Amino acid sequence: MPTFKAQGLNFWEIFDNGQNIELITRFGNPISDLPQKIAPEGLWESIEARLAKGPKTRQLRSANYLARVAAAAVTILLIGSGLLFIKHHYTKKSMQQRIAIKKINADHNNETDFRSIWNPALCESNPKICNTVFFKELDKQLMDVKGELNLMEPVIQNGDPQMMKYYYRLVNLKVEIEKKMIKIIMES
Amino acid sequence: MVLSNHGKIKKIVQGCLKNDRHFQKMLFEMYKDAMYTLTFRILRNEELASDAMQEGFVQVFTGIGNYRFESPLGSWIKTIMIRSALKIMKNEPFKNDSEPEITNIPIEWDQNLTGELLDQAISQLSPGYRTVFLLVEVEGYNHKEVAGMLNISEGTSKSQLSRAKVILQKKLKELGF
Repeated sequence: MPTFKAQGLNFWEIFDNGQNIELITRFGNPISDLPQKIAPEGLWESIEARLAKGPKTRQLRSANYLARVAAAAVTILLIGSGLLFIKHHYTKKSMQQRIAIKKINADHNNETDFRSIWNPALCESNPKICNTVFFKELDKQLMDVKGELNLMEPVIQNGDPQMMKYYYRLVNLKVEIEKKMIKIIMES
Repeated sequence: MVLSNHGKIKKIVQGCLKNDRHFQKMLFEMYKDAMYTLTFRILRNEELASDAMQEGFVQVFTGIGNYRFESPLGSWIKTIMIRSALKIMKNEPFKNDSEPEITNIPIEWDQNLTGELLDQAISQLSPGYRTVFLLVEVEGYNHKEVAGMLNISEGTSKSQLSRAKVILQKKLKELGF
């Protein structure tokens, strides 16, 4: 806390040194003559009572402080454990999700062998490319492969390895053609 | 052994540092009337002035370890008392405005004006004007110090004082001076 020293009046310095207050009346105005008050009776007793309460108040303050620290620690602990739980829960969840996604992807990869990745709607927005000779040739090849696959489907039901091998070769061919078609549209 | 006043104060401070009630009461007795006059002049209310005294002296005794004998003990206690009184008076806002400064114009006091009448006129000032007037004109603080104590700008302290003087002179005129 900064202390201030009155510049204009050395009253307290003179007072502390025990000099006569009358001598320091250097004002030629009634300010030096302002009425002085007498401190009321019983003031010291009130101050003394407050001073006596002092250590208790400090104890209470420190108890209050400790209580606040404890409350803060509990709050931090709760928040911390909450965060840990959330982290653990979501990590577990995300692990499960990742496993599930992997499974779906795996299933999907299997399915791509049978389902078309080519979407004919792409030609609606890109009619020029789809009308090129090269593209039409690819489209024709795709239709042929699809037709053969349709014919093969009942044949592979008995699980003949030779037929299965041929079937998957057709599937791969279909995917290759579709990829080419998509690539042409994407690059246009 | 006869002690000088300075030696006496040193002994009292040392006693207060030990939380000795005897020395604490001695210190209180030395300054009580002067400090009560100060707090009363600021607050203009006996009860509030007593409250400021209580709070102030408790702070003096609990913070006596901070007193470094660099300034007179009375000045140090006075600062604490002013802060204590201002804390009580904190509900009175200080306007932060700037008006033409006329603070250096000395007040021409009527020769017949008594301290009693001047005190009466000062008591009619609003708390903001009154405090600045008391701190600058009566207690001798400069505007920088007053600004620090009241948490206002130096300019505000100056304009408050200039207006306080104008109002004071107006009130004194009404009283026939």
